[in-house]
Formats: sequence, C-alpha cells, structure tokens
Amino acid sequence: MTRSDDPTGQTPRSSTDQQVRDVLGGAFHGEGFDHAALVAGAKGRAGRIRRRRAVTTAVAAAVVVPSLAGAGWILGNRLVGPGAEQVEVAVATRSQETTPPSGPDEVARTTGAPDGEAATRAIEAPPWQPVTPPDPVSVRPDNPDLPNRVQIPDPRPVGVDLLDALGPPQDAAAYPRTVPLSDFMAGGEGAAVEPHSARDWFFYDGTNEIDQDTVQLTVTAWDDSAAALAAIRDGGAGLTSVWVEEDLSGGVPEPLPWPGHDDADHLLVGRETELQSGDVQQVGGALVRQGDYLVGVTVRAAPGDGGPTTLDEAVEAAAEIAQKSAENLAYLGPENPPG
Amino acid sequence: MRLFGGAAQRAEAEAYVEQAMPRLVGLAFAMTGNKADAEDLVQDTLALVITKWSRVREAEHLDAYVRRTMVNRLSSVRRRRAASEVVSHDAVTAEWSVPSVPSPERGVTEREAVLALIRGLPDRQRAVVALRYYEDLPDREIARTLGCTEQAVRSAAHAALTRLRELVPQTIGEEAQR
Repeated sequence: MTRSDDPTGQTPRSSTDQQVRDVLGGAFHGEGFDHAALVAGAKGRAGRIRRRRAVTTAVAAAVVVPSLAGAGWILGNRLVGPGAEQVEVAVATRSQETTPPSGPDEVARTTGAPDGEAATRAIEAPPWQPVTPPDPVSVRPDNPDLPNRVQIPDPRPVGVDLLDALGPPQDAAAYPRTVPLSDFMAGGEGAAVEPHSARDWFFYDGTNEIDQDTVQLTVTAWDDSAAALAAIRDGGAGLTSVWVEEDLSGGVPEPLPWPGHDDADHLLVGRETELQSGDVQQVGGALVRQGDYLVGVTVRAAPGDGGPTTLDEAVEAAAEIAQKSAENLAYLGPENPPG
Repeated sequence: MRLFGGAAQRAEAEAYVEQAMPRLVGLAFAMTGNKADAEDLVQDTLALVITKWSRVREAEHLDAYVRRTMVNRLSSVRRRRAASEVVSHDAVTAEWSVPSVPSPERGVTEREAVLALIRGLPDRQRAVVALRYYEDLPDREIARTLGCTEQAVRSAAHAALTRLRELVPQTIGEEAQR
C-alpha cells in the first residue's frame, strides 16, 4: 500500500518502519569514515581535557602560594634531625591588618603533635578558594521588605571538577527565607524558626532543559545553627523548612554514612527522582554546619551529562562541595559580621 | 570526581576506543544524520570515555554507559548551540511552513531524504530511533541507555514514527519498494 491508498494520507506503518531500518541499518556504510583518524582525534581531545585539568590545578597552586607568602605567611619548615618522628610546620600569624576578625565559633584544626598534645592552628586562608570565583550570570535583587541581617561571604570552592564543568553560577540570590537544602526541603507553615540570612548560588547550563547536571549551593545563617541542624535531622519540627518527598509528603530521608564526618554537624542524603518524561535523575544532598552557618549543597545528576552518573557519585559530589565550601567559610568570615 | 590515571588503564581505554569506534561512529551518524556532526560527536564521547575510564570501566553495562554518554553529549551540544545561535524569525517560521524533506526532483536520494527527516526529530526521539533501528536494541536496553522507562521509549518511538509517516512522501515510499 502506498500513501495514496491510505485515506489518512500517511505512509503505512510497515513501509516507514522498514524504510527507517533500511536507511539506518547501513547508516555509515559508504560515508567514508576514517576510523584511525577518529581514534586519534578522540585521544587528542582526551589529552586536551587532561591538560586543561592539569593547567587548572597548576594555576590554582601558582596563585595560592604567592598569595599566602604575600599575605605575611612565613613558612618555617623546620626539619627535625635524623631519626626524629615529627616534621613540624610552623605557621606564623598574619599581620593584624589582614587577619580576619574571629567569629564566635572559631574553627581550629587539630594536627598530630608529640606527647599527645593537640596542636591547633587556625584556618588562615580559604583552602578551596585560591582565586575569586567568577560572578554569577544573574543576581536576583534583594528584597527590601525582608533583607538579610548579615552579609554572608561567598564560599564557592574552585577546583571542583563538577563546578568547573558547569562554569559560573547562572543565578544567585540573598534572601533569608531560603530552605537550607534545596530539592529536599520546602517552606512549611506555622513555624517561627528560620534563617536570619541566606545566600544561594545555582549552577546549571543556562537553559531550561530539565535533564542536565545542576548544583545548588545554599548558605543559611541562624541564631542557633546547632539547634537548627538538630531540628532538621528530626524532621524539621519548629522550622519553616520541612523535608519533602517527590509527592510533597513529609518525611525524613535516611541519613547516609559520611566517612570521617559522622557527627552532629554533617548530614548526607540522596534519592532518585523520576521526571515526568520518565527520565531518572540522581540527587545528592549535603548539609554541613560551620559556626552559625549551615552549608547546603544539592547535586542533581543527569546521567551521561559529563558529571556524576550514579546516586553514590551525586552524593559524593554534594559532600565534596559542601565540605569545601564550609572550610572556605571558616576563613572567609566571622559568622555574624555586621550587615 | 576522579581523574584518569595509570598507563595500564590508559592503554585499556584506548583499546576499547579502537574496538568500539566503527560501531559508535555509525550510531553517531544515525543520531546526527550528518557526517561532520557524527565525527564530532563520536570523538567528544570517546574523549570523555578515555578521561573517565577508571569510572567507566566499573560500569555494569559498559556499552550502555557509553551510549548514554553519547546521547547526553548530543543533547548538551545541541543545547549549547541553541543558546549561542541567533536565528531570525523568518528562518524559524520558514522551517515550520516547509517540511525539511529534500525533493527527489533535486536529485536527492530516498536515503538522504529519510535521514533529513530523522534529523528533524527531537533529540530523544532521534536517539530512540537510532538505538532501535541502528543498534537493534530492545526497548529495555534503550530505556537503560537513556535512563528512562520502557514506556517512555515506546512513547518516543511511537511519536517519531508517527511524525515520519506524516512526512515521508509518497514518492519515497514507492522508491523504497522498487
């Protein structure tokens, strides 16, 4: 039967089916593809990707070392004599002009020390931010009716593969009524406890395509961040933010193990989300308390888009970004600088 | 995210690329309907495979993983092009009003005409058509490759074939039966 025989005017089903099969079944025959050249091309492109990564790392190192030295760091590496077990790295304090003001919950790192003594050194530079991250493409204006109480510093880490691949955030905002962990939480009703300040950054490719890798970094500032995170763990009772499932019913996701960070200040969650199209995305979420701040990161992974492909990888990426942002925040500000 | 490392793994990755190239360039051609785009797509896809080999090799279904990477790479390239290209209103509306079927009178073959029609399908439909008719995959495998349900695959295939049936001209249908 031809199209002219069909009262609908359409080409018959079997004819079209076979035509497509015939055409695509021999799709590349006779196209003259040079397989060897294509293999060489793929290897060449892979080499360029690796070199770009290497250059990014080298540039970060090249910037951070002079920056530290210029800021007054004196690296007094003192190698102890032969047979000594300890190699001590003495870090001089920065000059008064460049020392950031101490916050109420000053962060210190414990390093190995002889005789069981805990030697601490304050974090004196944002460890994951040797260069200033590029500005967001779009910044939503502040809401004059409900401004942030304090200015929250920008803790976006650089040198994270997923963020590097996504480029600068496409959107950013500063507004206190913000959920601490995007996608996993939503605004509730009838509760009074909420952040007094918040900032967020949204990384995506700039299109409305839903099937893509995205990262949302949110920093919320609280009067009592420890109580806030505890309430979040307990389901959000008393907070204006509540956990939501895909069907918007309430529920607390099962916390995932976070090796080295299984404590009250860290929370890791993940879930699969099925889109209306039937596509499945992996969503990882991480919350880290840093002083008066909660750093929330949600990674939404579209498999094969170049970033994470499994739930574990999405969760791992969220954890990496949240932890590095929190470590940057430890340097970047006192938790409640004057607004 | 882990970076690729180790000469042995690199050799393993490159061996995979050499072995998979003929089949994957065909799939890329089926998805793009264009030689230059196919060459670009397959090289981009396999470059990612090489650089992420330590992760890729752990995939339960290696070929499905690579095919999925290609499908997403295709969508992502098209998104970027769509975001950067400036297209006039006239050009867009002209495309709506005139089906993009080259006419046989202009000496265009049936094969080229069908490829042109497939090229005009939305990404997902085109990927489903390529995976079903070029790779000859069952719906379950296509669903795994695209990260969607079998129902979504069947729905996309149905929509694609319906669209093609509407557009494939009679002359091409007749030619196909010779």
